[in-house]
Amino acid sequence: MNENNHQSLQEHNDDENSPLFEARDVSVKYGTSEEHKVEALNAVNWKITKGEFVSFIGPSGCGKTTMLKLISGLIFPSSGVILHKGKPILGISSGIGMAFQDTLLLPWRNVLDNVLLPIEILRRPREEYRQTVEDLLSTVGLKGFENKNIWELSGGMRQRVSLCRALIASPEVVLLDEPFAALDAFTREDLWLVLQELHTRTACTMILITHQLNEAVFLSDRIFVVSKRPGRITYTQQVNLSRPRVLNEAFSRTFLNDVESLRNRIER
Amino acid sequence: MSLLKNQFVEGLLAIFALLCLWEIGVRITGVPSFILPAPSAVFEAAAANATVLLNHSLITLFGTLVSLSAGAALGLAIGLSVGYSRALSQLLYPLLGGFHALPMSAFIPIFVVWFGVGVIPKILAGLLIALFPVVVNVVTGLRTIETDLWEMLKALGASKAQIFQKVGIPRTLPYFFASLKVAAAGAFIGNVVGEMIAAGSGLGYVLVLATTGLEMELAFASLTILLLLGVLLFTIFDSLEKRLAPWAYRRLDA
Repeated sequence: MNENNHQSLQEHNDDENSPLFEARDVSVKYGTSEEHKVEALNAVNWKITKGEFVSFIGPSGCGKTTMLKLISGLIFPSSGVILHKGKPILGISSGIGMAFQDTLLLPWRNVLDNVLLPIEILRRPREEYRQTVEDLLSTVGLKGFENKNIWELSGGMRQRVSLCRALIASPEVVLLDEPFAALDAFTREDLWLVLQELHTRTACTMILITHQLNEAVFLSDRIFVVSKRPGRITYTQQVNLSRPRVLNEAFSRTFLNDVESLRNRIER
Repeated sequence: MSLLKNQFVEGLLAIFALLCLWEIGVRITGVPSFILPAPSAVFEAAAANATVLLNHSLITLFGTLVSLSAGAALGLAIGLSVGYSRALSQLLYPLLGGFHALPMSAFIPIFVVWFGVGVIPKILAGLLIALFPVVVNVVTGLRTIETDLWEMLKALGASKAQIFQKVGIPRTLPYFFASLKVAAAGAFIGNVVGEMIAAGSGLGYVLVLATTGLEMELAFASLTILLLLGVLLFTIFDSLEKRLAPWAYRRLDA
């Protein structure tokens, strides 16, 4: 990763003094006719600072994915406003990295070409990213897998590739929509460490949606609890565990206290 | 593999047994050969007319391949345009569906009026039948791009054209190759029917000529060759499909 580059960006942003993303009284209603409208989000407020790792947790169908679509500019608030560095988001954003539960890797491309897909989209020269790809792949533990076919990889390995693809173009933010939901518990814990490592190395802002309380606590700086539909932010939890975090900590008293207090805030 | 070979041998044995039954049946009942010829008589007729049958088979095969190539190319072009453009899709897709519901052989007499008796009407008929499966499959391939993937690329800054180039077209290829074996059968049907109605050559022509002369042995010989050609075409395009987009058939557990 280009450390200097990230450093300077961070300083620049500090000068600007406005959060990277901010939601002000955001409500979202779906549907065309007035009577059949479904309210997905109701008067939501939050701020996300550059370099932060935040999570949204809440019951199914509470509008967490809607939150990500607002940030990427794929949908717009019915009322209120989403700000990016203090300016309203008016169209589809660019330069955003994403990863989903379904990795959506392209089976006709090998690992290397899958990771480089964003570079092709952005029409940047592939050669300049040789080192970045190598660093990313070795960070996620896939060094030497460049020429492997996707069908040769396990589910956990595919998700590692998908994280590299999300990060290759040094995006301003990475949106993670339940990326580990389909993985077994051990693989998932491995990937927490991988994701934490990636977050530390790239200093990239990360926004995670998850159903897993311990996953949210382990990875995040802050956690937003979203209520049942229409989604509201009912609670914000600061996680004060020092970094880097290790898996053993996930059983420490402070960690479990955080998980428990979150658990009590989730509506069911 | 050995299992596959066994199945193949078993299949051949079953066919041979059926032919034996047929032979015995014809001999016992004494059905006249202009109604149902015995397999041995069909084989004799085929051997006696080997050169003629080979020439006409090649004509049918050639016509089929011309129909198929033209139909596939046109189908690919239409499919890509319809899959890419929403406006074009709303305009053309229902029309194509309605068009496909027509029996394409019904166009042959019209083609004869336009182009005269010969190879053109049958090749056009084959092309028309081959066209539609290709269009439908290509459109399906383009339309089933995963929403999340689409949104991911959009949020990265991709244009619609880029998404089609990087994702749409490659992921459509297996759909296209799969449609070729259906299209090949269509092209074959169009050609044979065309030959039966309005051509001076090809297996379809031989078949009609033989039945009008009550040479049932020759008619059955032509029919058998048609069957074999159909199997050949299907096998070729079926294996081609798996070879041209192997990634679509590979799984970790396969």
